[in-house]
Amino acid sequence: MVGIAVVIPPRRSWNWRRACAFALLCVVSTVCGCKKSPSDEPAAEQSVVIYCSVDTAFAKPILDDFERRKGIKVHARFDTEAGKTTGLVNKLLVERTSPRADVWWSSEIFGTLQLAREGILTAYRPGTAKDIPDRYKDADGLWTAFGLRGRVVAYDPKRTRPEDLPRRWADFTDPQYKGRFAMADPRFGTTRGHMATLLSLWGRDAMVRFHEGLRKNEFRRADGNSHAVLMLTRGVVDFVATDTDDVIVARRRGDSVAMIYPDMDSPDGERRVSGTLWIPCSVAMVKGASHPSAAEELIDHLVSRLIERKLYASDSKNVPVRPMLRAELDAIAVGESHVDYSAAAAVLEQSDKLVTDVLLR
Amino acid sequence: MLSIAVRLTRYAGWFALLASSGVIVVTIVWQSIDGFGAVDMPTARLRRLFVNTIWMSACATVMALGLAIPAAFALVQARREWQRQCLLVLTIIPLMTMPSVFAYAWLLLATSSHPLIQQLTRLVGWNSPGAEPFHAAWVLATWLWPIPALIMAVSFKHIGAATYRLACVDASAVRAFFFGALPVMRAPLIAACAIVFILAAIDSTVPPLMLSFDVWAVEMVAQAGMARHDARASAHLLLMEWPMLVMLALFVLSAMPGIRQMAAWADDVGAGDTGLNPKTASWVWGVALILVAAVTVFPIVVFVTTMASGRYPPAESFQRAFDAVRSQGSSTLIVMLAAAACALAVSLTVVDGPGWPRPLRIAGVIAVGLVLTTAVLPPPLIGTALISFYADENISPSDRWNLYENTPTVWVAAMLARFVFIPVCIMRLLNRRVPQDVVDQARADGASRIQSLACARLPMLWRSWLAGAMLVACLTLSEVVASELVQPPQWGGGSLAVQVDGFMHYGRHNQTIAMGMMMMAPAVPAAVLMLSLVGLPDRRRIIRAARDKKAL
Repeated sequence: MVGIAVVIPPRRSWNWRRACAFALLCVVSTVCGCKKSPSDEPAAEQSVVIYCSVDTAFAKPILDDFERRKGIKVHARFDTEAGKTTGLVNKLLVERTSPRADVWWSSEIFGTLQLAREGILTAYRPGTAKDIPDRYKDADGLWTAFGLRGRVVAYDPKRTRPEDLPRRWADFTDPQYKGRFAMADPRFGTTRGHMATLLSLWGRDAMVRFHEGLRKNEFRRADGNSHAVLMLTRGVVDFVATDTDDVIVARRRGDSVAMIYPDMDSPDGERRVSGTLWIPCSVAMVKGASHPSAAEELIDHLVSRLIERKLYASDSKNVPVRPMLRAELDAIAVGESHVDYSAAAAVLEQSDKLVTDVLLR
Repeated sequence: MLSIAVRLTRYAGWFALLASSGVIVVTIVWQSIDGFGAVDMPTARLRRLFVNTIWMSACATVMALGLAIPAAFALVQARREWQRQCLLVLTIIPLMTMPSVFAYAWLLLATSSHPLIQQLTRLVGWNSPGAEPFHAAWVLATWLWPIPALIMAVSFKHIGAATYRLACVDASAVRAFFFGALPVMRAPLIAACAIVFILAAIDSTVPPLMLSFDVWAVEMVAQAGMARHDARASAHLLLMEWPMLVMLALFVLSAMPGIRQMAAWADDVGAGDTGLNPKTASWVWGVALILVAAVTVFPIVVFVTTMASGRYPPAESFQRAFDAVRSQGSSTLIVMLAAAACALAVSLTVVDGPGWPRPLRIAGVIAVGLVLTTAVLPPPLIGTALISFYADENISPSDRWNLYENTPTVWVAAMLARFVFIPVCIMRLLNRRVPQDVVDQARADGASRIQSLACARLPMLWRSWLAGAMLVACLTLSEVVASELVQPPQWGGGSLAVQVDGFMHYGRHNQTIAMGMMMMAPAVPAAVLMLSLVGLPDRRRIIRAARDKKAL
């Protein structure tokens, strides 16, 4: 070891011993930061895990508020813009035998119906949901829905004349809309449910014609609904299929965006369905939840009047499903069409297949 | 005592390497043996994605080169040390910044309602139909240009300077640089281009923000979400990825001659010519500096001006941004530190020497192979493979070993798999720079293998060792896709980058702008610190001091 001292460089403010100390500090702080498993915690009920496909910007303040009010730690996992809802639904399906989530809060209802059918959810009837109409509650108590968002066509009123606006969704197969229409990836989120709803209303043949028409018309695919609106505001396209909240957010930031509520008549006009699709958020308890009582408290909170009111007041502007609250807030679901959500959910997989094979071919 | 610490760190490094890159490779291979499943996507669409990705990445590479050449020229022609240091800080900052920040700044510019900006964007055709892939390529270039710039600057010192001086005899400085120095540096240049191409091709955060959706990386993120219910998820993704992976492998191979050449410079400790040409007009250097500075500080300028005209006052915006990301901050910081610590350990495992046993040297080569393999894998595949392994009940059935749910282990493993190649390559290359006679003397004086590593090699490597780990920490802060996929359900508040990226999809908003500035802020001190750690003059001085003492 005698000769080694010769090669030690002149001392500076840092040296290699400090480097080792830094490394040790990194390791220690990491170890200290790692929590033990909930089973080791004395108060195991004081946390709840929620899988949430509602946009982070809207959901996080609500969950933070719940944490503050109840003192229950909320571990929230959100979905990517690209994999909206579908990613988390698949995650819940794969975790069927050892569920990691306690609560499922979806920005739509079709994925929740799929989960209910697959036996992923367990019954819980929140006490705060008594004034929610039966149409928005599962008969067996597997899910509760609230806070509607409409499927709309957004356009720029400065660029588009009123006479150019489509009257129904099926009009987008018309050549006058060639290269001018965009929508989010129809394998995910509310667009997925929208396509499944149209399939359940129109039947397979009409839907194939619709998809082929859209493809022929060179429709543009966006990563999500908010991206679709960005495509509109950037002038990439003239019309986008999106949700009401994305249009409202765009308006609030000063963009020139307006929306219409097209009818869901079939392309051949044989099936008349006036009004557009309004999709509620949905909340459910996951079967085998590790923190059932905390999950019940969170569900009670999420489906309460307070949250519906908050969602309506937010940029998302979800229309309440409670008739009394709607009247009180003077909220209207414009052009609301009362479709059968279960029928749409039943054809989700068939719709996905059509989308992949025909529309995205 | 010290040699015990080094030995233990090396063991920890092997463990971390196997728990990250090892697990990923084994899982993918294991699941693939069982079959790949069926790809439920039409071939025509896959082909379109493939072509779009190549097109976008190639454009990004050309544009990055266009930005890098003036930057490299300014770097090598800086007349004073402070000029060079300033330029180096400006060059390093983009690499340490989240790419979405650049994309968001350009998005804000493109959607600005200011008449002058609108006129300008119309003039350059920024918002013209079909230009989205170019936008994505341009933003990727503004993020990745430092890689070719730094490689070119280093190459110039070793092989370009002599040619440049000769060419300067009868040509202008700029002409001599372009037509004299650049051609002799083609091998390192090809390597730099290959690295930029690979990074552009696997990025899935910038294209969506620039509204360019039909590219491979973005589709793979979606596919990772859909493949979650598949028992062979990573094999399924591999089947969809293989054309892209083959192409990336070809790019790695094309980069090898340049990398070998750069590795050879590590042996040549005395080399390095500034190539400074006193005839170079200062305005040429000034123009290059302005260009580099403009690209680097562009997001800040856009953020500040947009925020000033926003709905909320800046102070309130920062408060709201801070409130929104508070819970993510602590967990992200822990993962950053853990990833840096593991990167230090892993990079120490690859340090060996001529006198080391053959099995250890072979293991070092395997370790480098593992980290390079996972470095080119797309983040969705990394995340999916790790989740498949760590969340599989057959492998981790009890709560005691449930590393996925309650600890950041899998998250750290994902970050290691993505970024540990940086400190590993640095240590591997710089290890060759340590004078062998110094190590031989230590061995002759009775030092063991580990003692000579601890007392002879590490004192000359620790600065680069720390700098590499710091780079891993910075990149961990910016990582989105793998972090999102592997976020532990019951630990911490999630990833800061994922949260900020999620907000950016809503377009112009003061709170999001504040978040973007918060994500960019750490890059500046990190770049300064990194330069203070790896400043070339310091290292050369140390090595020369060691040689002089040895000579005495």
